[in-house]
Amino acid sequence: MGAAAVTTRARQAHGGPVEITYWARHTGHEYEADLERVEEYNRSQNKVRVRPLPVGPNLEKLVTGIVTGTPPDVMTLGSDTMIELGWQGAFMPLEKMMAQRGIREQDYFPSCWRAGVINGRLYALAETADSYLLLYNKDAFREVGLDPERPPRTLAELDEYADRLTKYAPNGELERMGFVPWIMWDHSFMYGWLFGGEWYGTQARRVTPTDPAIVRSFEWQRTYARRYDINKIMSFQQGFGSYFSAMSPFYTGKVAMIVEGEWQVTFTKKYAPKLDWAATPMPPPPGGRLASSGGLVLFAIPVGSRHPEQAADFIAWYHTARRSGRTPLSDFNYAIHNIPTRRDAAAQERFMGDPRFRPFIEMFLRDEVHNEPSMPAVMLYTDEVDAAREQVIRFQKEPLQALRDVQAKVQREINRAFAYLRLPER
Amino acid sequence: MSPLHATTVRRRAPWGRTALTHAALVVCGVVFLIPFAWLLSTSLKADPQIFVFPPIWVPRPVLWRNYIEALKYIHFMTYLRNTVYVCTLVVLGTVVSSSLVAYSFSRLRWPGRDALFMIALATMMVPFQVTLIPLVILFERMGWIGSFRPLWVPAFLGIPFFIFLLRQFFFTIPQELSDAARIDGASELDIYARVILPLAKPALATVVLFAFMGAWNDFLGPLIFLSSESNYTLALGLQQFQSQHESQWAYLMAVSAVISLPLIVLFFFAQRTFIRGIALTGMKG
Amino acid sequence: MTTPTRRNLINGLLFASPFIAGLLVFTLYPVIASIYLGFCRYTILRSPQWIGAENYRILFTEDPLFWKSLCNTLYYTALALPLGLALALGLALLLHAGVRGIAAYRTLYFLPTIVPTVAVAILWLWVLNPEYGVLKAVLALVHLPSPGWLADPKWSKPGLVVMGLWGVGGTMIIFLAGLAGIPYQFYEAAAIDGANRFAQFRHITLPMLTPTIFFNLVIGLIGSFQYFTQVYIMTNGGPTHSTLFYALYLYQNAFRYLRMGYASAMAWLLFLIILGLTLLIHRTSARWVYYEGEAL
Repeated sequence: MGAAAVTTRARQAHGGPVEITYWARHTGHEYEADLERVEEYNRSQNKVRVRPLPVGPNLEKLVTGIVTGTPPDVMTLGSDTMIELGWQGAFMPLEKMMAQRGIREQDYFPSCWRAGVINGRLYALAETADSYLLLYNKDAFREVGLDPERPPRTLAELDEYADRLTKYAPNGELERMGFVPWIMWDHSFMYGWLFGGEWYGTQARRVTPTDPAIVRSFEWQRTYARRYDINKIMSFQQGFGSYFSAMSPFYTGKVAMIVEGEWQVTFTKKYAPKLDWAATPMPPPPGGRLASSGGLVLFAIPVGSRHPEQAADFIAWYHTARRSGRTPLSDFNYAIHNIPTRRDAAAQERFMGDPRFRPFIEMFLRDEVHNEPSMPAVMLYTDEVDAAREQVIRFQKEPLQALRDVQAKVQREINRAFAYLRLPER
Repeated sequence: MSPLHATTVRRRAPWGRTALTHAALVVCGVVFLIPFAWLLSTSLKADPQIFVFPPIWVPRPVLWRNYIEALKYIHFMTYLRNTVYVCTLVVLGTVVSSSLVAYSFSRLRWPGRDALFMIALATMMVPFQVTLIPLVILFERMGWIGSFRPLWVPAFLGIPFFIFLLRQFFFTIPQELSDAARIDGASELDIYARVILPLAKPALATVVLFAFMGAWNDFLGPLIFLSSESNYTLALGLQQFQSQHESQWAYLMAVSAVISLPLIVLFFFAQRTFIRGIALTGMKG
Repeated sequence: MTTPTRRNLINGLLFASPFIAGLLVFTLYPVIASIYLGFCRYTILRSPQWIGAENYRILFTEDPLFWKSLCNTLYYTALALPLGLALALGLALLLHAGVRGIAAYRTLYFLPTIVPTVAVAILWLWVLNPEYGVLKAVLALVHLPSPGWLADPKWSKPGLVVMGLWGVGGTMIIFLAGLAGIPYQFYEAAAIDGANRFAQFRHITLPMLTPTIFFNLVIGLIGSFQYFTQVYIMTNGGPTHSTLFYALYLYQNAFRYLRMGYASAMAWLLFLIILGLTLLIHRTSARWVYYEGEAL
């Protein structure tokens, strides 16, 4: 689709509003909020009409749309998918279009901006963001004589607190765990950063899971498997199920401290209104640093979009429009309980003023949030690290060996991927 | 699978054996029922009551309004209309085309017949994941993406699963019937329509049932081939009860239960043909 | 060619024409394309790049997950297929006995097949829960311990087999249709000759049922080798790849890692395996499948 064709169509559509298709990553409640913002945009002007379609995280839909040359004009998608597809050239570069519409890098949290950058160019713009902190149960703290206003500040303290908070039933079964590093899903990447390690060397295009800090983080995860007997933990873990989100054992007091995301601020109100809890950054070990991981959802314009300029209009409107002190970006994030990706939006009272929500934003303010490495085969890397962690905590492999295997397998894949892409070094 | 002599025989079995059979059926029935009972129970609960231990069987309070709210949450009537539309066409196409092809594979003898049948079987052995992309490209070139056509047109060209099913069934009908009709001067089409099909009611009912069910619950096809929400089917609607960090389990179960109802009704009608079959006297010999 | 044979050929082709048309229009291109892609590096979003047999080489020599997923699939098939067939047949026989309320029972056993897969997945995550799942309660009744099911790499596949057994309703229905076709005169004649119920089963029911058994066996084989949706929703291959089935690994390669060429190679290997087994069954079928209606 050349620029000429695009301009022709724009001219043809001179009579009425141009209709653009938007495939939304959001479903359920989130899609409702998405619909609202789409409708608000459609009402606010009559040059562009956005037609949304809830598509969810289904990869088949996205790739078939692109490969048949009938992609949507604009889409939202999760960060890992965006990286994987972006490296294959699925999206149009955005710098010029966004700069023309007043979108500047300095208005964004660095990690949020970086998330949309592939090989040095901007291909996506983050609309919502997550960060992960350590949530802790104040009632449980009181119960075992810990000061509820003094959460652990070092990793050693965390381990100690976890020990005191762990409770056994008379028959020897676990009744409450102080902390379990790998629930509700794998956080190995975050712990790697926490210990001061790096997962990927962008310049060298090398994956570095054998970074000594990362190896140490795996050893640390394994101490929990050893100290509390992995079989008991696994059984206990099944007790709160893998119900793909929402029902956290944190609500029922089965786990006293847990790594979770900012949406819990809203969910605890719904599922555990009486729970007295607070959030604190995950405490680092000596030689480590404060770190959080975080997913995001980003806007992107796929190659083959028939109305990229109008798509960019919609995206820019979401990010910059103002009416009575609010922006669509802040409204949307508030509605779906996520963190706004722009500083000005995140600074609003309804976000920063909430004492429970505030620490999650502060991670962004201090630029302590890390994204998945931007590389082809990122999904493979994530899956392999997850599998390695499983093997380590079940004592099937030593941490260094497991991570070496990951390194070998993923590096091979990246080398092939880059050869296939024949991209210049950046 | 011969249909000729099929009847229900209410043989007076000894009292003990009936009781034993009943006992076995009931035990199995309970086992099969428990998960479904939990589905219904969950559909009437408030979310916090769902994943607790010990499990709550009778919700307190019983939220009948879950059903109303769940059905209002999605465009239920639209999805229902679309799904019925697609399913009807699929069933029609499947029954007609698959029976014709099965006839060819079983009631006629011609060189290459069995080889072609093996090819039909073989097409079922290729995982859909790898034929999806080329197929989508094909449909795109035909301009069918965004319409319902990719969902029902292939049904009119024979579905190997049902061709296979009907072929097995047709084989059990004695050749003498066909031969006799041929001697009487009937064309193959006559034989197919007037001799074979009437005798195949149980199998045809099975085809209707399974074909309808397959299309009714199909998720991937509608997801890939449809491009506007007004065309979405019920299976896609279910996805609306799950979002990134949360799922509305009660609503999901409620709609799943509602969606299952038409299939249960269909099943009731289909299964009546199983025991009745066709009692034909004087046909043999 | 003699006239009758020619007529038969024409009729045969005519009746089979819908299938032949479908084959040429909708099947030929995807099949050829995916065979070709098996020899390429293809990420869907860029053009395929010919790499010869490289995908196959990697599969056989460099990828332990290939073997793992294949073993998982074989293990599952070896358990689920015979058990499923036996259970389906057993239930069909029970239901065929003509008891009161048969319609209700039949609906009950068929119900699981009707429920949408997502709901089934959630239900069974609950049933198989080793802490408070229904299965644990039932096992406790007979004083048996409950394994970790989906949390335990050793018990995850058996757990899935149990879940699969819940869905035998479809197979059972087909057996019922088959049973319904057995002439009752055969049973009467056998009873008169003094055959007991077991002998009747062995010499009448079973042989007359073999076409149905053949169907369910082949379909079951094809199905279990492509077992995918449940693990995709419930376990995603875990724990520690114990439920990484071949079709799931294939899917991950195709749509998650965008290694569609690699996935295509996997697909065609699977095809060869299934085809081989099916041909084997088909070859032996002449010996054990009995078609009353026609001498094949």
